[in-house]
Amino acid sequence: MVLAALGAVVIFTVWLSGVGGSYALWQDSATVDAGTITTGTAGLAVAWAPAHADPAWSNLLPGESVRQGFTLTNTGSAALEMTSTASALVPGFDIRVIVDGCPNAPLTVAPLAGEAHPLAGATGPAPAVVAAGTARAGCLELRATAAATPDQHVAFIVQLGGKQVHP
Amino acid sequence: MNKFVKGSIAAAAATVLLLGGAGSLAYWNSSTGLSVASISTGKLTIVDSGGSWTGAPAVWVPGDEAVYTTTLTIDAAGTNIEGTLELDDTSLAITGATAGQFDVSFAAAAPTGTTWEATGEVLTITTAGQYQVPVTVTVSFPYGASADNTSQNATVNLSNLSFLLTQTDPGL
Repeated sequence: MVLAALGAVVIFTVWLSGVGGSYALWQDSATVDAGTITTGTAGLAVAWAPAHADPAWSNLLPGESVRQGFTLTNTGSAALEMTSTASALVPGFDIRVIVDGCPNAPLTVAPLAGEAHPLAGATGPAPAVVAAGTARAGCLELRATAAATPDQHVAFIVQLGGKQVHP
Repeated sequence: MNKFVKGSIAAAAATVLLLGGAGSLAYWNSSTGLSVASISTGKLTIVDSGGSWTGAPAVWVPGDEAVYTTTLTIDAAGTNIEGTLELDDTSLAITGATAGQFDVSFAAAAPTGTTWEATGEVLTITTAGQYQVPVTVTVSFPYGASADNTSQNATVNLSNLSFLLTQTDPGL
């Protein structure tokens, strides 16, 4: 007879999922449609007034001046503070610029120089402001000074600039 | 019968007994079940209620600012649940001509059970619960010190403005 010793072995096996894998944390998000922001523009346009006539600039004697109107239009999205400057200036002629139309008397503002300076208006402090999408009348004066010489022909450029006004 | 034959027969019988006859040898096993109480996990979810703008211009220029307001519903369940709420900066499509031209800030009114850290613009949830969190997103288009027209006529897409709720380690 062969006798065999019986040995009872009880093994607890516990299976854990993810053992040896990577662990995670939780995360969620909420999304809203806040639309689209659109930025505007800054733009200026200038044109002579309908009554402008080139011959008016001719035959000026020292001390005489001619004023002609123009229209300044803010074509952008922001109000602009106006400045003006002139280039190609020659001795014998002063150029003056204001906004709000041409008076019957010579302008009293300082003549333009090579650097930009605030553009004055008939009312309100300088620099004059042109609101977005609006137009404002202006006046340019050419004055012959004592330094003007006979049979002088001149050409100059007046530049009008606008700086966005802080909202 | 001689001893040799008897021994041979005994050996053969022993061999048969040891081999289990004509079958295969086996070991014994047993199994039993141990019942364990079920494990339930919590949750951490966030839902928005839609929002609206205050002070937003139709067309933005440098110097403009507006505020977007919405209410977020947070459901935090779990004995040791903790988490943070913040604006997902990657959802702000401020690129191209508008890159670097806009500032965006996030603020939340912290209900009981949460804390607001203004420096990091983070709302921390420290207790399980359901929270109604009013939040604001302030968008500003700063007015600069020098002229730069590159940001004109551009767009900033905020149609996928996202708020991120992330679980944090409870440190058990």
